[in-house]
Amino acid sequence: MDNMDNIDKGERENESDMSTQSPATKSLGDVANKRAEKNAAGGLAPLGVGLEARGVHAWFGKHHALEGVSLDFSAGTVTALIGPSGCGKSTFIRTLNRMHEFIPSAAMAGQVLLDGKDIYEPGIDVTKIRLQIGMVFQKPNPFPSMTIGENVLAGLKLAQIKYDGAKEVLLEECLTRAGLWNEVKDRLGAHAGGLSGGQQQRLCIARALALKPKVLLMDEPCSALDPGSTLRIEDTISELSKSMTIVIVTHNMQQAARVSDYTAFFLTEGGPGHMIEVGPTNEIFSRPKDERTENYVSGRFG
Amino acid sequence: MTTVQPIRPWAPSKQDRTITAASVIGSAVLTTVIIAITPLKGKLAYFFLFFLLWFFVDSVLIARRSGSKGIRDGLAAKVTLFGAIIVLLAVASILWATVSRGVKGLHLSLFSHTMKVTSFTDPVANGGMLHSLIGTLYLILIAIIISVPMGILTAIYLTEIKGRAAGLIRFLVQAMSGVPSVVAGLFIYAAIILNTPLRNSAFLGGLALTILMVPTVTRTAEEVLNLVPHDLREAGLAMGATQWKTVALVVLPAARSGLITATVLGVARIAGETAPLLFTVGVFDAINPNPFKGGSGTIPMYIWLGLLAGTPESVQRAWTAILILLAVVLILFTLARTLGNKKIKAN
Amino acid sequence: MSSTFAPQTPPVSAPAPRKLMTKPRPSDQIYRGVVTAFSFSALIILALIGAFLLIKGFATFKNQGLNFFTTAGWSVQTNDAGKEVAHFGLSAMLLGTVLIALVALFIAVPLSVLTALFLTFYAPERIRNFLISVVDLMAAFPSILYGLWGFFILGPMAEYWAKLINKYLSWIPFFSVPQPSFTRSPFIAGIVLAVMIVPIITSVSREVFSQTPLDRVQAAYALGASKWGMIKAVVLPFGSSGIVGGAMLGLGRAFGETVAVFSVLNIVFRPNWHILFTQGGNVASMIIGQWGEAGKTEISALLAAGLVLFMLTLLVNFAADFVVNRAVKSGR
Repeated sequence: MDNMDNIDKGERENESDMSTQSPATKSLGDVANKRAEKNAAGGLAPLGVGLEARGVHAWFGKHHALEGVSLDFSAGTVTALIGPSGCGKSTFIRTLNRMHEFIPSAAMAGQVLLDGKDIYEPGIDVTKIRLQIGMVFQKPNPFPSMTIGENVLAGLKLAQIKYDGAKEVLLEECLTRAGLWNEVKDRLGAHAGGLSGGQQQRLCIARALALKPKVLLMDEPCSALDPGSTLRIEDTISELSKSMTIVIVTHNMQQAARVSDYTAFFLTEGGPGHMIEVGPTNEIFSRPKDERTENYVSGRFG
Repeated sequence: MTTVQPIRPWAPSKQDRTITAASVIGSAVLTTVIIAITPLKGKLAYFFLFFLLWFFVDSVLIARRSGSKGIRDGLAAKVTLFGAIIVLLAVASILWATVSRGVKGLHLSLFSHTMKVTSFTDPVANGGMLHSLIGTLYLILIAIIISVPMGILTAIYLTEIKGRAAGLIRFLVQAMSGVPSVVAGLFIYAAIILNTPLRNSAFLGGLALTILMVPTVTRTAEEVLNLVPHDLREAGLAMGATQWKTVALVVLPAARSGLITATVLGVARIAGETAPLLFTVGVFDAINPNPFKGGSGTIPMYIWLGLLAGTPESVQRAWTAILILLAVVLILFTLARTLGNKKIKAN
Repeated sequence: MSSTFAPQTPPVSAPAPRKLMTKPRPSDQIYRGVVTAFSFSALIILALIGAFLLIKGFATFKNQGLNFFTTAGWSVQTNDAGKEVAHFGLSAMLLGTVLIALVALFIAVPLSVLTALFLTFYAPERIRNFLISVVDLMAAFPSILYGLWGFFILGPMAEYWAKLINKYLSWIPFFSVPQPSFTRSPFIAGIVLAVMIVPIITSVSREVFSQTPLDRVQAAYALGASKWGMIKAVVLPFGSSGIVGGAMLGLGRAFGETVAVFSVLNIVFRPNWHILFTQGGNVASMIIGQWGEAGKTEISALLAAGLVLFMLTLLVNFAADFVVNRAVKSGR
């Protein structure tokens, strides 16, 4: 796939470049070159150009949680964010679809561009942003008062979208893509609370898919699940990555290695969390450039 | 270090605020104009017309950005705001009525004279409510003396002993807080006045008020004791103190200001109770120093008599007395809040 | 910090569970005894209230039988033989109590839910804290203050509203009146009670709303819901039993309110369901209204009425407690 070739590398920013739109990025050899070639060609990936974070900072009140992350998620790729707890990776992923702002004391800086347009631009309708950038959370959170079918279509109702086609078709399509159709096709009218944890999580994925997002953010989607369910979700991710951009936060390095094309390593060293290194997943795990990354992926801490 | 400034792109911008302000002011002006040129009149008309216009104007502005979903969201926000405003208006109306009407009857002799030689229908400057203040003070003291130990001990049972019956007790305390005040008065009448030689007195009034005060004290005290850090208790027990010494010397002192809050809230709850006093305290126009014998003046009964007498002078007395009662309740309430805040900060 | 010594595996034998027992010291036993005894005071007081009102009102229940609940009237006369003939019937008062409470709920529930939603989801923090204080303060207003306000300030305004409602909606049976007299009606009493129970319903609803599981809220927002969409899909289904419980607590308070209702209601022993009309009933207010001139027989009847009121509010409060607790525990 020609759109799996460009991922940009941002790292801890210096004061000087924070105010500019294109922060200094460290060359990552081939990756960066390919990106440059592509930009020169002006070719757009069929899925749009993806999601780009530009010097993103995040605060909770006075606490500076995340510092200067610049990272590109090109369309159709799976990017894993790894790092020890408290390193800001969950905070970062929540800035990508503006879920960060629900924490009352939250503040941020920087830009997040979806297909080149800043999602934090004043005057933009944030609910429309979240339709294009879906999210799956750590704990499966289907709506317990709704049936399985209603859950999948909940997004249409919540976002008040008129769906032209047959809803049954959409229902089957989303559940199939989430790998759940065969298990629930006979009980779409049952309440979602009766499903197992893994099924609930796939239901949540199906629910996000019903809105046809360009990007799907997954915040440790398997951390509450057993190994069997985890594998099924990973299969689902591989399947989905053909048609959308996926960003996944995970604690599980094997998982990152299995599902992602690119991996970014986050770390906090006392101060705010920041990104240490990003690159193609096999490089990060086999020959990371930074010693701290190596220590982490080899299991020496974290 | 970084010089990046945190921003909140989701907060309303200056432009948003200006637009909001403009639509509110515009709607208000339009409302006034429409009411001036049409036969519509009255406060209700202002209220609803303004709401409709504001909703309309704002919807036009929202629609550009967010479509019909945004309009519905805006309508919900406005309707909840109006619900809150109606409640606020009711409170404001009550406070304003009390202050504006009560102030006219305020004079110093209120606090130095009684109604011994004065009738409620006499000019307002005559007589005073000293006897009622003293009577209410008696009632409150009696209620505190009985209900505070009772409430705190019950709370200790719920939080420290955590006995098997804790669920039941909590349930019963909740039920007790729903006992109508008139029933509390009837109960003291049926149980004591009909069965013993005791007759109307401040003491019996205090007993009736105790029934109403205990649930408030218990529930607040329970909340407060639950806030005492667990390691404090364990520290006490680890030093070899008995459980009751730990409670008496560690837990209760740690929760002291919270327990005072509980007491104050309880007093605020009962200070203005009127119905139970009708059956238990009766009325008296002069100071009765003996709380165990004979009726007594009280602030609520003073208001009640003023209201029932129905002349402009007596009603004026009632408003003035309610102003004083409200001031007392407000002071107690603020006190409870301040103490409550201190308690939270201390932890 | 992990320790570094190598763990030693003790010889394996299934150990019998040891029971942890502490024999309390005598001083602690006394302490536990005293505290436990006091904690039962709520039970004892509630039982005594029921018992004494039953004993003292028993004569009335015996003499009046079921008529006490099904007929309307309140009279004690001495007949030619010098014997007391008493007729006590609560039906008009019971009907009135329920009617006024329903009017109050009808007004207070929407207002309270809106206020609670505003406080939980819309109000800026500073306004929120101020408003919460105001609502709490409302709960602390003495009921006689509501009575005074209801009679002098609200009464005239509400009379005007009643006339408007009657003018345009009199085709609805509830809003018709036998004669055009609108003062001191159940409608006005209902509004006063509504203002009194708003703080109760608001604070219970607010508490339940604020416990809405965050993951569900986030799920709704992540699906592109607006705030209202989120509230409709997540908060209201979750909080509905809290609203019901709060409304029932408010109902209990409305049933038992005395002086405020007495101040604004024209109490007549005739069943009246025309809520805008100047006739109404309320058990609690009737008791203080009749108390002044009551003789021995009538006092028994008033105590019996008190027992009926007590049982009614107890029942409503039990139900409310049940609903609220279930709402908070079930997390749904």
